[in-house]
Amino acid sequence: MSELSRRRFLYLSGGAAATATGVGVWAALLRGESEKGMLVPPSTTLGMTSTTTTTTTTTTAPTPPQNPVVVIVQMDGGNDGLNTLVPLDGLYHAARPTIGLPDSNLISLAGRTDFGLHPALAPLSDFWDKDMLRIVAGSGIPEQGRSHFAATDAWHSGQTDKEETGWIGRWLDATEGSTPNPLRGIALGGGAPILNGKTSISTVINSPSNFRLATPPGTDSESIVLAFLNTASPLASDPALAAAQSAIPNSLDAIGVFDSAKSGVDPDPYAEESFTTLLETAAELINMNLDTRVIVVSIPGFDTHSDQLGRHQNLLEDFVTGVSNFWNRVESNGHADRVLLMSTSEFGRRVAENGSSGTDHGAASVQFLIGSGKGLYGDFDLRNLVNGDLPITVDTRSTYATALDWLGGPTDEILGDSYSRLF
Amino acid sequence: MVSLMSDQENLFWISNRMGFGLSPSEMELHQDQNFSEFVGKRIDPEKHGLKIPAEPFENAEDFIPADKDASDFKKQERAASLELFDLWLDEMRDTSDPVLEWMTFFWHDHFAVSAREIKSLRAFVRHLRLLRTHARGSYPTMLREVTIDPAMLIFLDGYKNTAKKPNENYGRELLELYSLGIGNYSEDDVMAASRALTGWRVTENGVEFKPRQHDDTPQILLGNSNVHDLDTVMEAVVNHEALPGFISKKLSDAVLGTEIPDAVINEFAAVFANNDLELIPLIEAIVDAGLSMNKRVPIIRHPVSWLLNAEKVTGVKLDVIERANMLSQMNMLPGRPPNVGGFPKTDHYLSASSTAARFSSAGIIVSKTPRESVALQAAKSANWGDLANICGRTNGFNQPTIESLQDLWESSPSSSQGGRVCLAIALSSPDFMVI
Repeated sequence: MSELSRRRFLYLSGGAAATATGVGVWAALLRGESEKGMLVPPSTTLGMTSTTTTTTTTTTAPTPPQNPVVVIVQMDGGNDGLNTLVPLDGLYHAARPTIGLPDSNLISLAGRTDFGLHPALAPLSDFWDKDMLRIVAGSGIPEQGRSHFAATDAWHSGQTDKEETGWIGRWLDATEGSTPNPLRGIALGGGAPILNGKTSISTVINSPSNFRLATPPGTDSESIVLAFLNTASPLASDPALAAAQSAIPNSLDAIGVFDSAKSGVDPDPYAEESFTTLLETAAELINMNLDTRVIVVSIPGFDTHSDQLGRHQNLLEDFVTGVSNFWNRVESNGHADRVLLMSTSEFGRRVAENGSSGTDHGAASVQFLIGSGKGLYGDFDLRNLVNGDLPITVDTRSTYATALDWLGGPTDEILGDSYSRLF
Repeated sequence: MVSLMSDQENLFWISNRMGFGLSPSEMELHQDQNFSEFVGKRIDPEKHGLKIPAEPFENAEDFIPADKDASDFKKQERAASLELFDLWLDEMRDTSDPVLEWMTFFWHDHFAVSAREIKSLRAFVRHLRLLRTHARGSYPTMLREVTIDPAMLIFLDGYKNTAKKPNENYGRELLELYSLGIGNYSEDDVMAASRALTGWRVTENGVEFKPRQHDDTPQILLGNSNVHDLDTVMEAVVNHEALPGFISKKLSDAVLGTEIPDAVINEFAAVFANNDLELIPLIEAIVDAGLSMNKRVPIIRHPVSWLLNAEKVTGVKLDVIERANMLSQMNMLPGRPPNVGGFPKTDHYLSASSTAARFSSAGIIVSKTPRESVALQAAKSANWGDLANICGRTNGFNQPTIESLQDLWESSPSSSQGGRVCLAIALSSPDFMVI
């Protein structure tokens, strides 16, 4: 019995659990009904059109690892790439008189004299030294604009035209098995449009520590949970009602996994789940072998229009603490070979600082890939700014292509084009 | 207005779409009225000689801590913020003017100022008062007031926007989120608006304009030359042809759902534009269109709507912490939109964790529901038709919900316990999540 069904079995010790023999059974049960109810009209197209304009050389993807996992860390708000990975070319300090980081404080990367890391990111140099860190400078999607929302849409979908699905959602659609498993794609700490697919269902957990089912005292929990589940099928023909129905088995399946019966704990309603905690949950999920393939974790607050220095320092400290702690766990659990962690952010910030010791929305930013090999790709080209922004030197979709290859593809089909891979 | 639906269905429709549901006693109070007269009074009570209820934060200054240097200031302010949001939720639930409270909450989502971000409860209360004052008044007036509102000046860095060091944070969102939408302005417009809005400062009791920090150079904004200050920025923005459509679409999406054809949105926009961007004619047009539809498309409701309607249906009184816990776990705390775009689209609230939190919250609600609650009585006697009606489902619950309720009721040790758990299922059912 898989871990999921074992836990669900423990939760629902009645007859319902006895029939639960595999991952996503409740979702599968619902899917059987969906042909009648049409929650998710079967789709033959993935919104792909064949274009050749930005086509780059196709490379043969390396053989992906067994049971690969991609963890995506979303630095929400637009991370300032230029103060994350600092170019040592003399022009930087002219653009950043107040918030520029002194060269002497930067963390150097062995073998590179052209860049230094923000001092808060010191732990990343260990990853670099162990050949486990790839850095992408100047990552962006052409024409994405400076609006949070337009840029975020482009980053989530991997397309610049209006596309409702996320690039991971399309991968989940293309690769889901005959028994759908909503835990193949999980977002922790908030919604993740990146997971939106046309047919696949994924799981969004806002706060893992509060994720549980409580029933009124003195009542029979199992029968109430079962009654809740039974309201979910068969699916109604109305899409809104059907969506509310299908959320129920998804939630119960995920609860079975998280099993966070932290009874007696009255969580602080205004407490925030820390990024480190969320990534610890991610490491646990990977360890549970639930066939989870993609986990998305958000770290908010990068929209540093003012007083950036201290704020950015704290944000990067949180980022690197969470990531290092996560990687230690993944490593000690023996999963390091199959995990690729990739950071993203909807855009970088303007090269010139604004008058509030902050930076406004810009274009290209930086991405980190941890887990497989070393390299520094692209550039922060301060000599050829475009409207005051760093030019895009690496199409972000090249990093998506790399991650999709890691997952086993079909990469070009999902991105609608063939982008060069980082490795 | 010609509606093919029953008056009772329509009553629930407007109460759910521009309000937070109906309690059984409100249902009784309203159902014998002439429906079109009722709608008229709902949307524009003043025109019908009705009094606008006093604002819920009247005495907020009494409990908002003033001494910023006090050692436990943060703790005090947290407690005060919980109390404040609780008062606000009470008013949304109990008000005699639901459209006013619904619109105020709509603008809170629209301007999305976060009490947490601005770190001043005093400024936040002032902001809410402003939204409430103009909630169904003149959009240009509200937009002008919001532009120089202390809370907004803090939230989007306007108070740091000076001639020497312009900050474009507010200028961008003014054009993108509050008036025109992407595609209707350029990066140069963002900068022009930002420069013309330099010089506003937040003071102890409000705002002041500092001419020395203001850049009075004429700018070109949206094709208008000589834009150099608040008034000229506002003139350029509110006269732009994209504004009526942008605001109409946003309000229409919230009331009617997002599937309304562009042609219909354009009609709303025309009404809005022809009435000097006054909101009541726009609201009337949208409600009228909704009531005239021969087939209504249900929409998913957000957690605040769900919780307040559950409170109305059951008559339960929750304490401050219980409410905050429930809303926090369903991921929607009033006063704390997650980003400048406001609260997420409602399908976000069908996440695994929001769904679990809804179920758990329903359990707490029924365990505190008073014995005499008519919803509880209906559940105890397994009268699913009545219970559905009380829950606003005039055509009854969905078949799987009925069967599930019946099974649970039959397997319960007593009708009293069966009533409570069945009420919990009704409240957490998919049926009660769509309006």
